[in-house]
Amino acid sequence: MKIMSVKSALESIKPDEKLVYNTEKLLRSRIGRKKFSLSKLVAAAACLPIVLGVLFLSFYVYNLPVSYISFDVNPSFELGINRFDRVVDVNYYNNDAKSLMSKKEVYLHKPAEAIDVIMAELDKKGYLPIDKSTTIAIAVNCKQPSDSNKLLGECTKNLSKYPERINVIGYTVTGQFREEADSLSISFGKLKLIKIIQQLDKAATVKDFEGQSITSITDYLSYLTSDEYTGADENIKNSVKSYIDSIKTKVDTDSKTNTEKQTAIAEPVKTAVETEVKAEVQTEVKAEVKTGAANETGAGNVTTDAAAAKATAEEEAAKATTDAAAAKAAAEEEATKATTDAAAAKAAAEEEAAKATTDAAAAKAAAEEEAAKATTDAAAAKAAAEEEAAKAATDAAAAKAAAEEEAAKAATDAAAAKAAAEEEAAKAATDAAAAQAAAEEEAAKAATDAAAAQAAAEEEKARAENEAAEAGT
Amino acid sequence: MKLSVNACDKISNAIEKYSDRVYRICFMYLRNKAEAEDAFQDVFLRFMQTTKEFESDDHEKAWICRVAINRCKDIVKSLRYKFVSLDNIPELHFENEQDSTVLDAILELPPKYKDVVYLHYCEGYKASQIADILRSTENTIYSQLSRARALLKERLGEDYEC
Repeated sequence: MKIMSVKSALESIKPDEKLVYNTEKLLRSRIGRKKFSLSKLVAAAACLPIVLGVLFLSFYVYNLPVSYISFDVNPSFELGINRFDRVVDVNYYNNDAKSLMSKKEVYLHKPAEAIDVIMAELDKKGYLPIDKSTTIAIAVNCKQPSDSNKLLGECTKNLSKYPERINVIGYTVTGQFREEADSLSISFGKLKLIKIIQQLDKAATVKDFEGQSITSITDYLSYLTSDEYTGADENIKNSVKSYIDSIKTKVDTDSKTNTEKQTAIAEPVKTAVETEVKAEVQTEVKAEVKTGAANETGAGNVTTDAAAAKATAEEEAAKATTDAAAAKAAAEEEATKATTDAAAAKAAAEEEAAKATTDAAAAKAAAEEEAAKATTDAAAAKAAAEEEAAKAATDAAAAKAAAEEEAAKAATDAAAAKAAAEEEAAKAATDAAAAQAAAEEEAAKAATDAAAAQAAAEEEKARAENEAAEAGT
Repeated sequence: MKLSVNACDKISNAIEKYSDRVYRICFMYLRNKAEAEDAFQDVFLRFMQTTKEFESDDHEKAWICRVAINRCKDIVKSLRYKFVSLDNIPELHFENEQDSTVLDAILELPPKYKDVVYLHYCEGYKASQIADILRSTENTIYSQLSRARALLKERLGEDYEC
């Protein structure tokens, strides 16, 4: 019997050649591929909600408005600004706004860029006519008031492209006010103006104005604050007026470029100066000094504003303006001096006339007649002195107006302005000197007349005494 | 993907050196040609995917035996294997009738005895080496070898040699 071997039996187990071949082929195809791992898949699946959650949260936070800009012309918008200073939301408050532009045109733009886009669309679609001025209201709501002012400044800085065609009013509102406007389906910028109207016109309702343009609303406000309207308390009118002025000024200051700004401020100042001088020369010369000081402040503002804008040109303009202001001040000083001298002369003449009158009253009828003549002369002298003073003041005002004009011109031709101002100042000084001389002459003449009158009176008295003595004899 | 020359050589060498051993272990455990072939491919796939640095050829051989045994144990424990009907298992036919008898006797042994019988009689490992591979103690290996021999003797009679 054969011996059975365990080793031999086990070695008889062999893989098929086909299996070996397939295995080798399989290995060649599999090696190099990444091994599929269920645990990695499970981990990835577990992380997926977290990743999606973070993505969703990020998206939500990015698209969450934290500040709002209300932009009203007649199209009425509200732009939502996220914490990264990008426009992420646009609310339309009327059909004009809807047809003007779509959200995607301003989405993720910076506020100033968005305003540019809107302005371009407004211009293209005829909301900013060339022949008349359009009023635009920009209202801002941020959590922090300082942020509101900053954002408002940003929004209005690019509006100087249309300086002749638009008036801009800009203001800030609180979050609570914005919510109230939201509940009334009206932009908070427009609601603010309507609330102001309601202070003056109790019968006004939101419905009355929600469809109207800002230009109409501000025109109505102007009427309500004017003297023609008597339906509101003067104090309220004044406070509303000052508020409207403040929001207008604010935007103008922020929005105009240096040249435009200079013109915008200098022109009203110049006009105001002219008007004030004209009015005050007619009444009191004394008050003019004050007005001059105010004008100087206005001119100083011009200089300051101009200096803040451009570097080199502004420096030139500031220098010229300062020179012109100095010339103007000198001219005013001369005018003031002349006025003071004339007043002194007038006072002296009056004093002399009064003295002559007293003396003449103590004399006889002839003396009285002479005294009356002296009084008449003194009055004439006084009238002449006043006329001279008025002339001097007019000349000074003219010199000042010329100086102001020169200041306005200073940005373009500083040297010419300076020369003209100096010339004007010199002229004013000469006129003042002439006025002073004339006044002094008149005063001297009055004094001489008074002395002559007194001598005549004494002569009459002596003759009367002689006659009395002869009569006695 | 294009394989490097090294990877191709490694595949060829591994299959040439270990295909018989791996297949034997798989077949002994699973007693089913199809299952044995699946396990065979799995073992080589793991071998190619491992980043383990082998100290020597012996170390490599011991590692691949260990992996084959573990893979077979996993399959045996799996539900799929438990539901394979014994009727579907093809009969083993060997040219040599004696070999067939011995193999039948070996395959009837409990798994823990099959491991030691194979590693000792076929691969020529000593008890201490088998203990290392199977992560057992030397004495246990000795006693398992002794019991395996007793069982084979019982089934095959006196006419067999190791």
